[in-house]
Amino acid sequence: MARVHGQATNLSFNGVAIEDELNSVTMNATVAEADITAFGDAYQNFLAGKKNISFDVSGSLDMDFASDGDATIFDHISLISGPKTLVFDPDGAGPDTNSPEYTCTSSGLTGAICSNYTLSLDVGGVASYTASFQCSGATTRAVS
Amino acid sequence: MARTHGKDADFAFDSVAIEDELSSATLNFTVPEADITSFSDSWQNFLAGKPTATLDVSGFADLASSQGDVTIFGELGLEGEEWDFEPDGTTGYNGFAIVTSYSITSTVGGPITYSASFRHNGGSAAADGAAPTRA
Repeated sequence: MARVHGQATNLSFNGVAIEDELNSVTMNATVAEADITAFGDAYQNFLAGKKNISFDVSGSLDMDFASDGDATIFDHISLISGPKTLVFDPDGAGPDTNSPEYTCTSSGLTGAICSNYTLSLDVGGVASYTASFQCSGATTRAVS
Repeated sequence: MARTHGKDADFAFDSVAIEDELSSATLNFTVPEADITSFSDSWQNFLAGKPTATLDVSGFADLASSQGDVTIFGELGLEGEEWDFEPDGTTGYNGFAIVTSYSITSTVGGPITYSASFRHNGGSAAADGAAPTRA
């Protein structure tokens, strides 16, 4: 009955670790429902379709270097270079038996596409950003 | 007029009990309404269609082997597995369901949480179109 704090989460996009900027990460997995209800069914009936995974992240804006989040994410929006590898390690200790690491690996049409990037600058607060990534193809769960 | 606290609810998916991770579980039954209102009716008139059931759960992520994370993620896109929800820990409903969504959230200031949704699709086997069992 392990419960895990989120304080050590790791996330990288295109090989750039950005957990030093982020304060929230959500992985969303959805499955399309195909309705197969027939007259003889007592209840509505469904089959699972293809899986889909996306990520939503938010944090503090780091514009310093080409290897930081802003340059990495913005470059991916503006360059047509194909999907990139995204790695999400919820507890920051994986991959290990009790510490999975989720990876969408760049290969051909597979990988993570940045689908949204928003910068927010408030005169009274920290510069922050949010980004969303759509995984194309498989996302794997590794435990070793 | 018994009223029951929710603190002892049990929930299992694919025969893995995950009530030790969850803090909320909701079983939703819905029935489509077929509108048969005619000009001569004084009030709107409806027939009930085939019912459906969905389940929404949320709680604290357990990333260890044989727990909720590996179980739910591993069933994405598959045919359906057994679910069992006992609101008071003794009496409840069961059937088969597919996973329709699963979200994990890490925040720097709190525990890793998750939510998941399931669609009932069988009574005694996946996709048999039968009702859940109330036992």
